[in-house]
Amino acid sequence: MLRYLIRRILSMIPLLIVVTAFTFIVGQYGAGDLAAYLAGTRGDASKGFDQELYQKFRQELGMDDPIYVRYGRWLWNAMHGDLGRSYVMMGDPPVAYLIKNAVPQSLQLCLAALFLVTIIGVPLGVLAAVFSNGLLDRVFVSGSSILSSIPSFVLAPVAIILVVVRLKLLPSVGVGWHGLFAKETILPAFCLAVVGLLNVVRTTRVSILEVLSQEYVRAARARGLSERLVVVKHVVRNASLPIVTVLGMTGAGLLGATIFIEQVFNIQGFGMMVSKGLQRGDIMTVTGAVLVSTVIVMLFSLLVDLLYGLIDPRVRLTK
Amino acid sequence: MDSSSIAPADITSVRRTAKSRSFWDDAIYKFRHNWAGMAGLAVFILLCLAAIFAKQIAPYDYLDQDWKAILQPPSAAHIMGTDDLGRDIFSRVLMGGRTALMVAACITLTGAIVGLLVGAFSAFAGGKVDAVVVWVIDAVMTFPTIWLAAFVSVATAPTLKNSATSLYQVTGWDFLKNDVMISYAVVVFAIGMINWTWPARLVRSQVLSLREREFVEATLALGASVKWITMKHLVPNVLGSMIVLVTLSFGSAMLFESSLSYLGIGIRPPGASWGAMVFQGMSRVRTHPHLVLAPGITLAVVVLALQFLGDALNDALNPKSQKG
Amino acid sequence: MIEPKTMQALQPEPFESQAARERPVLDVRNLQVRYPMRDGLVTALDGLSIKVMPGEIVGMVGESGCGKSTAALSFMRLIPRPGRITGGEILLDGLDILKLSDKEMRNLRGPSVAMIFQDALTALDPTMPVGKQIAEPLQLHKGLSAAAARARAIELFGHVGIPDPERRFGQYSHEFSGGMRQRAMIAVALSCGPHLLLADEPTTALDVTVQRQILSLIRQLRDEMGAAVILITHDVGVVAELCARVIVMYAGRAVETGPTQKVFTHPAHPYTTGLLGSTLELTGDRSLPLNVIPGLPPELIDLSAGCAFAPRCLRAAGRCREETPALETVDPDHQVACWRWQEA
Repeated sequence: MLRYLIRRILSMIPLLIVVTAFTFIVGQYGAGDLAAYLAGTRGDASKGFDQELYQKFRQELGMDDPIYVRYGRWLWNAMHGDLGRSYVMMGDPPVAYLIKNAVPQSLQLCLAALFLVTIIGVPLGVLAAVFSNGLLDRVFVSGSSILSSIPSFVLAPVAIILVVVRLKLLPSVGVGWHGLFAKETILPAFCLAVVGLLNVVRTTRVSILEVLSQEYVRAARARGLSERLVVVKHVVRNASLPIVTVLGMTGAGLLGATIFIEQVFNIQGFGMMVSKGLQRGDIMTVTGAVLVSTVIVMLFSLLVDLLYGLIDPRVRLTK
Repeated sequence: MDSSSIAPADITSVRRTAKSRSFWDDAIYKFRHNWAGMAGLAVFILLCLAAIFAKQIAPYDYLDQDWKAILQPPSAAHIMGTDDLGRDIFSRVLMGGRTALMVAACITLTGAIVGLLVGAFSAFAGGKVDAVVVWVIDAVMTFPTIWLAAFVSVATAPTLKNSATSLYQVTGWDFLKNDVMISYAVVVFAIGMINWTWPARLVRSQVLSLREREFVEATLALGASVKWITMKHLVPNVLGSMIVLVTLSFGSAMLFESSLSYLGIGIRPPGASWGAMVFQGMSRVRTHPHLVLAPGITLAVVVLALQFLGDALNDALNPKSQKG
Repeated sequence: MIEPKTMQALQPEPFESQAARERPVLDVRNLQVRYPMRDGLVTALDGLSIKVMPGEIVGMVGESGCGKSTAALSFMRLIPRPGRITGGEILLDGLDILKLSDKEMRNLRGPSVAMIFQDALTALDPTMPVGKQIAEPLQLHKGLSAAAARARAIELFGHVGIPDPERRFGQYSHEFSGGMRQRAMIAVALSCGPHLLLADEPTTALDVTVQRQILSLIRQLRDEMGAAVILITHDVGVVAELCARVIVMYAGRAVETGPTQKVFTHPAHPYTTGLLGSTLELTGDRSLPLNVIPGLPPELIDLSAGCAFAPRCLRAAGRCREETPALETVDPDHQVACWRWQEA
């Protein structure tokens, strides 16, 4: 089991490197001359373009080194917790500091959303499978389909208008993050959950239908097991494999969707940070954010692999 | 007891042969009976018509600013109301439709072509080349896709802008100076960078599975050339899945474009994009919800229609992946 | 050499009386099974009648889709929805199973009747150790404790010829080879000592050498347990080798039944003739063209009267197309459903 996990981790490292290298290189080339920007904005405007200052910044930023050296340096620093500085924000705060403040909130939001999508999506999928091709099935699947197709940045405002303004069901959500269990968190978590809802419902439904049609289910019935026993002893374990996978993927995907939800609900989280960084051309922050999010995605993936290995013996026993 | 040499007279009239239908007849039949898919198709056609005839249908010019009528809620004069600069929202939504359609079409087309080429090449090449390509595809798909598109968009915008400017100096073509046009190009490029993975994966797996299947070997044994096999066997098999993929891809391309525009890094104003319009309306969402709802709901309806269309096509063309 | 304990476990419930010993284990009369489909009503079985005595090995042969598997499933009342048993009687050990409640039927599955499935890989739960799947019915039907069930399962493993049974108990189906998996499946079916064993194409998924071993295992177990076996296959060679009696199926009906020897040497039904004629012999003349029965089996949708085989039959005459043939007697235990069998 341990060997299996280590193998998975090792296979992810090259991926991590390629993704971050790509991000770093594209970012550095695309952002234009950072030293020039700094020289232009930090120096004394009346003196015109200060060549000395420019050279000084070039030195500081190590811009004379070849790109791969710079990447290596950045990566090395990153492993020690230094992701550079954001030169766009006031006071040149270290990127790591910004991220450290933003990530916990977003992670909590994502976890809340993941929780919601699980307790809503999986039962809906199970019911849809049990009543397959009946009315309930169609209603659940189309319903999730409709909800999930609405872009999150449309759904969120609509939800706010409906729930807060018109129906006054939840308190006004003007003011950002109030903690994982606050009432204000319900709506953003729900809007975020909806993004992944359809996938979860569909996958659950298909998985259960698929397992029910398997020969070993019929064989279990042929041994005299009641429907309840068949489900508990054979269906659950086998059906949960794709469901766990999709939940893992959803969890990872939710992180990406925070970029919209946080903006709508004014939550100063990871997504908000990235979106502002993109708008302002804050390359260092964005690059650092990509590294962190990739790591988080990979951790999720690893978690899914772990669960998979626990559930399905074929995975951990074959080479 | 030798029954080999006799053939009874009515061998062709096997009792009760079901009406034999070709694959395509079957597909069309199934599709026609899927009301969600038909509705989706209708909406899509409506969109195309609205996009093509936008200028004719629109009651006002989408750039026209009427300072006497700003922030008006929907009324007889302005079906969807006006925005903060007095522009008619309905007209802007129509133009936004044109934008959405064009951009989505470009993205889907490039994505499909690139994906097809990469997928087919990878599958035929096999071995290490294939392994590398698969790995690259997985790598691209690991990214939260919006972020990747957004990132590429931001990172490449200045470069594209510079190349456009230099190209303009060489050719003198006016449109190269147009900021809006450039933003179009950036968006198409950025989203195209991620959109090709799904078609590539699909084509690759289809080619691989078809390559293995016995009938390919059998046909090869009969002396057919690779090209003939490709045309006659591979293409029809892949076609069905490709059609579904392209349809769904269209919808997601639309979503991407509007997402990028919503973030402020896609189509720039005064270009009309539903995403951008939602973004602009967000600051007044409580007082003037129609600013957000008009483009937002239109976008949602179109995406939904495409989703239904894609699902219906999937049911019709891929009977094996039937939901139950 | 079988241990007395195993023998005890494997024995079916002893027959209560001489009458019981002479009563058919399975008595099916006019069984009709239908599936309502979108395009029409499919009649998978159309008036099937079979009697199987204790200790017999009966073969059911026919092409794919002739209804053999459906028949086996219906003997256990396992027809999947939307299919239903729409007519006839099924008497298992003299008990009309169509009148039983679901719970009562479940109690019969395992101890009275059991099934060996065609593909052991798909018929075993991949996420559960194989041994546990044998122990499952033992705990359920015989009330054994987990430890006792485990012990019995290991004995069964040994008995069906799986080496190193202790270690194999905890292994998963993908860790077994094809032949061993099939043996494991047989062990699963045998675990509660059934009176009737339904073997659905038990050797189709295996290669020839393993096939022989499995077949001789089935015969050996029948000898030891006295259970009846219905062997379903499309391979006439297997039937010839193992089955004392054979039932030839076509389009959901039994078209010929009788002792294998007789039916195979003097087939009365033209379909049987065709089936036998199309078998390849290893030592035959390879320059001769293959014997085939021209045409295709009929669609089973919306069947009407008339012999199902008529379109492909050289002897077909007017009556054949209008009236469905009833079973007629050729010899005391040899029956055929054909109007013109005498013209062979």
